[in-house]
Amino acid sequence: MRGLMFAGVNPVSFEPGLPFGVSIMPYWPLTQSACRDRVEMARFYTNKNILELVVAEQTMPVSSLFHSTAIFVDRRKAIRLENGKEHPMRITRFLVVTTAVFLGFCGVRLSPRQASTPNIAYAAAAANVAVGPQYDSTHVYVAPQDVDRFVASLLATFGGGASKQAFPP
Amino acid sequence: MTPTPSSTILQAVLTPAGILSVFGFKTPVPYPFGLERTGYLVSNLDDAISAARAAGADVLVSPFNDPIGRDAIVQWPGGVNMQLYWHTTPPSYAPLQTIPENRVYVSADRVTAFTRSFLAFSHGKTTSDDPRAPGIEIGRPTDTYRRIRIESTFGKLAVLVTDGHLPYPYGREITGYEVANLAETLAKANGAGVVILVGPYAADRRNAAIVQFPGGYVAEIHSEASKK
Repeated sequence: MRGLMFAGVNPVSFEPGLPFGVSIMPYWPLTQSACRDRVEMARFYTNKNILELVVAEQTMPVSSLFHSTAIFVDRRKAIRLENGKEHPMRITRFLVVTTAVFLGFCGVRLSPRQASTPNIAYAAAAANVAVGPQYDSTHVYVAPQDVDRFVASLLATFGGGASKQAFPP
Repeated sequence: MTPTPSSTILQAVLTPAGILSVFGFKTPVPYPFGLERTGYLVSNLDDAISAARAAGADVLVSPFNDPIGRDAIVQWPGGVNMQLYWHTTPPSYAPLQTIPENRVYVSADRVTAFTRSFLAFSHGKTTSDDPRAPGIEIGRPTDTYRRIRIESTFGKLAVLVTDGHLPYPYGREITGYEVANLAETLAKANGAGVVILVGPYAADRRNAAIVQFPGGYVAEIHSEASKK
């Protein structure tokens, strides 16, 4: 078998002769069960000339990384993967290499090609630190003498309210 | 409010269409403050810095304390600066009526790196990627440009990919505010001394205008076309 599969569904041919194998190690020191709770979608293993990539439908951390990867390669018309739907196209060695490099950037460790046994582990991505759009503020710098009329014009236009003026050190 | 000595007026403005931090510095503004465009609240600043770095951001200003929390400034590929902040006592603001968009102008050279980084950091999704968006949106009605829209828990972000040949005021607007009725909002704005710089015009199922508030702040304001 020589191919690359997304979600175990669509085999796609790629150029043979990969120079390396790929294995994924947990990026953060989480227990494997904790990893599974957060990510259950990323499984890589190597055979001699086979890189098999399984991406489940998920929008959790690692999936975002793969999503990003997919966008990255999409620019080069190699493959398209959006929201868990696969659109297989021809995979080039360039794709495989750039994917591997990007995964390496995300904390995935490349290992010398050797294993014929599947080598499966889990990778965890960074925590989602976002709180909500009502806490995104646009920073506006105006002359100090313009603060009052600027704030008044904002409130007249959009409604809402303003804090008292503060003079932080 | 900066890690080195400075003095400023600070006033938070909480509107149903988005919030603003208004600074009126009484001293010169220490670099690189003033270039950060936006401040995003994060649940943990150290985690946020780690995540931003892992996603490819530069930490331009490493974490520093302010009177009510901690801050840092990061820069995304493409030169987009952003403050990340955390409060000792978590703020609690009402949800917005409409979610504004952070409007980011980037080059074609760096758009892939920018979107890859920001999507990884924000856990966001690309909701549209139009390689031929109407050029009227950047002041060039006979051209097209690439426009990407991203949504995440942070909110909305519009990536405008241009060659930088932008007539004024395009690119000066940092935020696009959605309102229920553009005409009504512009009428209120006009009465408050706001100058309409562009529009209103219709594009991409929106009616939009670009305005300048007293004090110089330039913003885009839009409403869904079906609602005027």
